[in-house]
Amino acid sequence: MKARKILTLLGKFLMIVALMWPIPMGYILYPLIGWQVDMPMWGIKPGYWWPLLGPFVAGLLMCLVTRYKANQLSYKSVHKLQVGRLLFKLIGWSVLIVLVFIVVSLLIAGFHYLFFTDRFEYSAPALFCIIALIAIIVFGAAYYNNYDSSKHENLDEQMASYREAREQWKQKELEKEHRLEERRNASKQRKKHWTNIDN
Amino acid sequence: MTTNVNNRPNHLGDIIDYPTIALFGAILGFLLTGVLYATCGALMNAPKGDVLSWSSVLAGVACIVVSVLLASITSLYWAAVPARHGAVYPRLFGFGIIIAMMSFFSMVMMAAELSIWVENLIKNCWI
Repeated sequence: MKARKILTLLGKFLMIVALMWPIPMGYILYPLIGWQVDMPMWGIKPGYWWPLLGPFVAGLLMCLVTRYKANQLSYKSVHKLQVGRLLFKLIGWSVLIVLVFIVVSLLIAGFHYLFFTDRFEYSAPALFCIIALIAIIVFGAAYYNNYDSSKHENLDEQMASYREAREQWKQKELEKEHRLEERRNASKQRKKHWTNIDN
Repeated sequence: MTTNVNNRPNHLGDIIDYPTIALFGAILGFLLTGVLYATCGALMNAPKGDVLSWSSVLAGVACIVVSVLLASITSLYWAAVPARHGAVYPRLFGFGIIIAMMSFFSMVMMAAELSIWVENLIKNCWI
């Protein structure tokens, strides 16, 4: 067990070193010896960043292989922080920032080309006409399909049916859990019975 | 974060280990560089008469993709490997912030190089 623990710690150490290695390499070693040995900074060819992947993957594999399980407290019994959910939420927000930025800048550029040109007297009425044309087509399609707005106003009923379905699902889950618990208890009982007989 | 049902002994549910916090720094480094490169960098590298440089946007997005990959690795690590060895003390962020900052600046360097490399690659392939 001790060797296992040491191997886990070694794996973690390798991962940390691989993640922090570019600081000594980029600020100290590369300026010192980079001009002596032909060491590319970046690219497909093995550069100074390439060896980092080795220790990182090795450390991760060591941690995964020697994952330590104590008798008293399994890692499954401890509720952990929801790291994944937190990170992916953050990444989602930053992707959204990039998209919103692109959309806003393209809109500004588009309006610039549309309204701040010397053909403003044509572009503005053309935009107005395009919007009117789209509105006419949409209203025509709705008329053709016998659109009924009252169908979309019974939100309360929809919510009620949603809540009902949710309650049913919850009940089912509880029953499943209960059944599992019963089975577990039965298994324990059987185990106890047989061990008592053996003793 | 929900309430811990079993957080004994010694609030084991609240600990975080050094590799996780180093990975946090790495993810944030790639993410920040990617977002800045895809927004401000794209504005600054825009060719004359254009608003954005699309190759810069793609280079920034490549950095964000790398951060997504790192986040997946972090999730795998966090789900599979217990944090009780090599734990950060004081609990949660504590002194691990030094490790996180070092990893952050390392990965900002790597991301800057990656984005420049990707941008040149796109430009060379395009023409």
